[in-house]
Amino acid sequence: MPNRIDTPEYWIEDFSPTPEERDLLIETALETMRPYTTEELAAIIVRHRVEQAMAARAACAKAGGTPYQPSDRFEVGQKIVFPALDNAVGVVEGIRPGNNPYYGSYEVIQVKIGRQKREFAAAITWDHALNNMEVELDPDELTAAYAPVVAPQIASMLSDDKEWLLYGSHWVLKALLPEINAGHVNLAEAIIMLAGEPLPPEQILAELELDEEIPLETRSLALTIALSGDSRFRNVGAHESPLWALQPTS
Amino acid sequence: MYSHADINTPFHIDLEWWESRQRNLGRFLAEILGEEETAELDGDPIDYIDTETAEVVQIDPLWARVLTEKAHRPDYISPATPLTNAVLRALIENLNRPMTVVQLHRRINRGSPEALLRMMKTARTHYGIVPADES
Repeated sequence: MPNRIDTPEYWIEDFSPTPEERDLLIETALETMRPYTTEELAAIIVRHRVEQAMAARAACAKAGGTPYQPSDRFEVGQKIVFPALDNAVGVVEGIRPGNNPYYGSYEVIQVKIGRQKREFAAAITWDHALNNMEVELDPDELTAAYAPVVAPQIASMLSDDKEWLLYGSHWVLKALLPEINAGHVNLAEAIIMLAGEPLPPEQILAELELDEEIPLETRSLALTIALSGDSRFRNVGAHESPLWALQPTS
Repeated sequence: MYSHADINTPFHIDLEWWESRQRNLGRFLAEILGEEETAELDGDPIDYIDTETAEVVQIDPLWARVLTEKAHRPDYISPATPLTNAVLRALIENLNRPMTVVQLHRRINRGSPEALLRMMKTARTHYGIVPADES
């Protein structure tokens, strides 16, 4: 039985990012053109899955299926939606009396789901967990709860993907990084030298005339990556908020 | 140790193993119920209603009684339950649907999955618990 999307078991045992979700991350990054943390990317996927599940439920409701509750009675021919079975839809084909005295008086409905014929309890008079099941999904709540859970899988997927680059705690699409050429780097050296103190990349960028349609954080990351690979520069700030200085000359 | 098994290999109870060795799973179920007299797994199947999905499966009456009367209790699998016995109880509770060692470990909540995997050889010898693709 598949685990429900609002359970830890679903995200721990069943979750594996799909190629479509990989494409979703690329589309999102191309649209915003900015870097993302692993948790932010994980949140995009979790939210997308929850919204897909909600859409599927809405489609089922529109199709006229009755949400299954084991305390309800059903009729032959009735269409039922099973929220606990990933919203599988089935049609009642038969009804028989229950035969286990432990459960008291109840019925058993025979339901065709796809090609399978399965049986479910109906008209039970005791308290089954499904009778109290909250079927509403909350994308905000589920994203906050489970994005951290799936983040390691997202990081693993992206680290195998040549489209993405990880710098510090941020992933960025390589294609989004503006080219920082030798001229830009030489100019950065001069800017820092004239300032006489370490500078954040945003301040250096003000003089570099890179494409300003690219978000500042993406340009900053591109500059940081370029300067970190050049022996004339050293980062005297934090990894996440660098301050660039010149290496002391010997 | 199974050379091909790992912590993600699904295991189940090989019921034919019990028959071939004239072992009586019914007696084991009767012991769980605290009814020491020999019990046979030969009653007409009755309904068991899944506690999560309310799906109905037809199983042996003795097995159904274990599930309805005992399996939900904290002492059904406790720290005092011998480990191989706990694995058998977990599979009985799961209607003998195959469970990986990771899933068994999560239910039994003792030791580590790796340690439990090493113990599965004993579970085979005592209770005919084998990889699901083997029988």
